Amino acid sequence: MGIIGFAWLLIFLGLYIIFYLIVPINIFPGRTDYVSIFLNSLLKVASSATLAFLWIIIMIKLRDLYMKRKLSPN
Amino acid sequence: MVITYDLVVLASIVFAVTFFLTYSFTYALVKTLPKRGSVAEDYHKLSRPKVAWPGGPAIFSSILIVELFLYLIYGDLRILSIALVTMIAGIIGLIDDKWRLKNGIIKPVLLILASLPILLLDIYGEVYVPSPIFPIFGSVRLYYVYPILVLASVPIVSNATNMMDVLNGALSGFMIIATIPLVFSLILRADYNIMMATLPLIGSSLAFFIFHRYPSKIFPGDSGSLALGAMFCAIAIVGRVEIIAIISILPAILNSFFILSSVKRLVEHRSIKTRPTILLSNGQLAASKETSAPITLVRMILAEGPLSEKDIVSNILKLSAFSAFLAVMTALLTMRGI
Repeated sequence: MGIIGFAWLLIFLGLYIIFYLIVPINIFPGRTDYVSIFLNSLLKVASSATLAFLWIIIMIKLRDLYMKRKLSPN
Repeated sequence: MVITYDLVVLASIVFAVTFFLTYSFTYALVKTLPKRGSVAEDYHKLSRPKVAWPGGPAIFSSILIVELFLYLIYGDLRILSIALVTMIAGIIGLIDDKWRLKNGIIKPVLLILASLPILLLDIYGEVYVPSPIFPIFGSVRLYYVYPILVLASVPIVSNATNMMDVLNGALSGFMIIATIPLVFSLILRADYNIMMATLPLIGSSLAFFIFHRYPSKIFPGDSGSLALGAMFCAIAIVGRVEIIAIISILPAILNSFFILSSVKRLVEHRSIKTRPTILLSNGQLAASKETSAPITLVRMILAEGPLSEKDIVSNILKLSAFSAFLAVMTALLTMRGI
């Protein structure tokens, strides 16, 4: 339950980062050409994907830590 | 829009008819499949009983009948897409049950076909909205990325539910609990058509659970697990309850991530050589201490100490209930975001 609860909190933290830090990103302010918009969107998608990847890594590390603690011979 | 008396009556009929159909079809399969030699060994019992298998056709055929009936009433293409996704995933599962798709990559690739009805029926833009609604923060437009996510999500979710089908009653019990938050959030969003189309998933899982619970009289097989997972995913997409669905199905998603990351390749769960659990002489199950054994949800539960199969399933259902609670909380927070 702890891992699931933590995963849920991390999803909310990730959403906060995506909506308040990644979505407002504009690396080409004032430019309206297609290439600039595409590159800007690509950066946002890549940043969000990195965050999702980070979520998976954290969950795997947490799982390994749990299993190590529980299954290691005392 | 308010919940009317007619809506409650129709919802009760839809639920009761699906329950009755699945119950009758499953009962018939329990009687006929062993006579035809269609049985699977229950590895988690000392006596290794032979259990009727696959029960999937009873699940997806009854869901299909009720969903088509609902489509005739409402004329909503989203309901038709749910029916088609469920049917295609069920047929792919049946092919796997019958001929055992050995290569781990074939099934996920085939399951992409199951997601196609959502995209193909959207020619008039009536099936999905490429703007998932997030809790607190509202919706975000994913015009180009969303169709790719649709194609990927059906194989991911249906495989995740397939990997939950490990012990007696685990999958059917899990699906009942995981679907309740979807119904709740669809009522909150006043999307009664899709709420109605979600009820067969609970009705069918509940009827199947009666035969699937410990000691199982029938196993769903891939035809059952893939159909249930694909239907769950289709409801999440067309009902715009994607995030709530992800939270609700979190135990299954984490389980599949944990398995795939520990075996480090796409595998069919039957083909994993080192078992994650050991059957003890007293009939209880214990976590394997082999480092090469995959880390599954069941192995994590058993890391605390040996348990009976019934107790493990009870723990899985408690985890599902906790996830469902978090999903309901997310649904309430999502309403704030709209």
